[in-house]
Amino acid sequence: MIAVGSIGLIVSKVRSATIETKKTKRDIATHAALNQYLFTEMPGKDASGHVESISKRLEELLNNLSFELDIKKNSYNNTRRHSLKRVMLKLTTEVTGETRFRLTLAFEYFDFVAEENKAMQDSRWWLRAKGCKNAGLMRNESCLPFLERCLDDDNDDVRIEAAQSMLDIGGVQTLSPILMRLKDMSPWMQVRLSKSIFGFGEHAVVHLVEAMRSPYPKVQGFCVEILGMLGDVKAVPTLLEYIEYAVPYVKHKSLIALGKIGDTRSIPIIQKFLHSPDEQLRIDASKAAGSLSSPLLAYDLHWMLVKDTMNVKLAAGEALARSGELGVKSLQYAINLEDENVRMVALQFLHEAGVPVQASQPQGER
Amino acid sequence: MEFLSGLINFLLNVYSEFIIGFFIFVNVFYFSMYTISFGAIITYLRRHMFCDYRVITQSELTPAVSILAPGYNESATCVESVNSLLKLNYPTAEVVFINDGSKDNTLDVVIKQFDMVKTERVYIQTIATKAVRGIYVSQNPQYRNLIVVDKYNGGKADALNVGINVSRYPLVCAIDADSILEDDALLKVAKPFLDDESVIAVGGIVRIANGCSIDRGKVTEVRLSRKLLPSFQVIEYYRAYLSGRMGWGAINGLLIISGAFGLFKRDIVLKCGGYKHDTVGEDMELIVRMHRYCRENDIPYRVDFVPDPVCWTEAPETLKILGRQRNRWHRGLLDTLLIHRKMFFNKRYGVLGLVSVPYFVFIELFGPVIEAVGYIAVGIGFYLGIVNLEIFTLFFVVSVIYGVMFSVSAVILEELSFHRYPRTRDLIKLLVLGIVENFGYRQITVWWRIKAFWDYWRGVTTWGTMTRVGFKK
Repeated sequence: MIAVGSIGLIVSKVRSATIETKKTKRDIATHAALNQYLFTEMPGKDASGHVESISKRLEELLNNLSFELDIKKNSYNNTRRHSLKRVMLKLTTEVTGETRFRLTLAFEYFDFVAEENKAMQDSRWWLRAKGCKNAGLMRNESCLPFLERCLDDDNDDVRIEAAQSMLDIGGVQTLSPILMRLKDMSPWMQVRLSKSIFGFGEHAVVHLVEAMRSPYPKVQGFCVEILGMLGDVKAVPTLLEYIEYAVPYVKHKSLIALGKIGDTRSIPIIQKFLHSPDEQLRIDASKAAGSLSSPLLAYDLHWMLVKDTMNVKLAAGEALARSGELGVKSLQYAINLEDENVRMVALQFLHEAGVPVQASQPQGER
Repeated sequence: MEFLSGLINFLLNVYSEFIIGFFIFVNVFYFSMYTISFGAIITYLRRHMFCDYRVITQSELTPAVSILAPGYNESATCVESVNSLLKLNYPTAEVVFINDGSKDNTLDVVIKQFDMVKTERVYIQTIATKAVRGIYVSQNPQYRNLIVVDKYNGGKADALNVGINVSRYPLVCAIDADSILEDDALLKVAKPFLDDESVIAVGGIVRIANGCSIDRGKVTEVRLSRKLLPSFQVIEYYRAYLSGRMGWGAINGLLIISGAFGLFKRDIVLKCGGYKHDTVGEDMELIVRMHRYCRENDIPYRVDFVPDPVCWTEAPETLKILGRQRNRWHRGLLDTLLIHRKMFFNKRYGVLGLVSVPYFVFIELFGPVIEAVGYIAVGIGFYLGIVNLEIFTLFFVVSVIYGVMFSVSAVILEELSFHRYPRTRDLIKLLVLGIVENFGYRQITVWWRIKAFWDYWRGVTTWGTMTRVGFKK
């Protein structure tokens, strides 16, 4: 067994290089044939504006490609067919516009779309996930119902790939239906989806606001966080409305988001949370206040710097350093107080803000 | 005399039966772990198909990491180390270099090279440590992610604790000053934290860099060392990481994350009290304590392991230094298992108390003792003429075959997954070494580990000097 294993290992190592070279050669030949289809000039619209001649020409080119590569549509074990699919999938990330459209047509012509729709129903999770991923690359709307079903899959990778592909195919319109369908979001799913959502920019705001109706805190939290990062003031009324009765997890994220958006309408609510009994909420409110840089919150922040726990002191000190002249004055006052911790925190943030410091004798608190 | 001879005969018979039982138990256990590891690696590789690390790099949602690099008398290498850490591929990371009271000019070199100035930053001593003399930040915006902490000497564990106190980010990465990290190392070990929010610590595979070409702190060409000792250690590392830790990670029973490279959730480390500084096995001890903390407080958690080669380290090239290293590792193991003896066969700790800890006690800790007593018993048996030569030969051959089988299996796992040694001749050499190591090398390591018991009993707590010959450039 050992001898067989060892010999097999050595043989496979030697062979793998040869197989790889063959595969590359085949892919190069496929690529050349595919270029014919992708880059052949199309006839213009006819006098009556019909595009039939274009469709006819494309079909002709696809037939030629099929003939040239000797690909039989129904033969799924054809090596050349695999090569064509591989090359086409690789190209999806490299081409745009009309060429991309031609690729989408070709995927359908060669039955690759149907193949992926079938894969999405496979019992093995990695095949379902791959099916979802490829469906997104193929950009074919017939995949959407299958993808939607995969949003309820047990496997996180399948759900992520399905959501991502739905966004790729259906665009921003699919965002709120996807989010409303999800019951949970792993950080990895959040990272993946956020990339596409940022690509939609301000168009995503209304859909994220809509998705905040989701009963699941993870989904709500995600929407809030992305709204904060997008920084669109349109989200402020909804955030202010939700923050009052949201679960603590969403409250934390909402405070940070409000700070990032930086709208003055948030000041009263941030002020309210600066006095919350929850230490983490006070820290988050301080961070939000720091992002808002409003002198209106300086008094509350100063009070926290003097009276609160060390972690809150640090957050308040940082916020004060960013709250303009009043904040800096407050820190300068704090370096003369008796409390060693208050003095240290004030000194740190004055130093970081580049303000020259001249401490006098410590005074009692007023 | 007859009574004595009869007694020895009886004892040898009992021991030989015990040895056969132990042998069967160990090999069944290893085989199970190998099967679990194999499944875990396949799952990892399948999941890998859907992971584009560029997305992690580009996302603002990726958790930020503080990299803790303790240094003691590192003036010759500290600049290159810090530079390579600053260049790691990760969206938000800070490097905290901790000068552990170096007697040379390490601090001056770093201050000068990176344009550092002393700050008034508040040092909150959440974990008790030796006093901090100063915290420095750079005036150069290029190095705004670098923090240098100067402290009184207290050892590596104390330096890491200072780093944990100073760090600002939710994940902390502890490394050895001489570790060479892959560019994507942080991305790869951060991924499990994104997959599962209950993950509290992640380790990755540490590889041996002897024989490899290194250029500007990066491994550019992977080769097996021409020397025998480092090559033996490659096989050992394969077995330990690919068939061992990968399997333990899969059943959430992993007790060790190498001190050379590990990523942890800062808040849990703080709650556990950080690294213990009076043990030589501080890396293992912290992981066991983190497990224990979560179990005792009913916190759902996972300690995970990624089979990607993320870190390269220089292995000892002489028997003397290798002996010291193994001795220290075994003392660390013994110390940790004694500290946490409460977990031994304690069902409250689940798989940890019922499987991991007993495995480490019976197989890892006492395995060398049982093996050495076996060698002695065989010697006595031969002297008394009571050894059945046929059975002895059969047992010896079977034990060697099993040893070789697990070594070959580990090499197969590596070839199936990451195949980092591109040359066929390196692969052949590894397979041959899997056989050769059973004759001599294995017995020497047994002796070093037995000696560790004696040293522990004598109260030896030193690390022993690890002289490094440096990497091929």
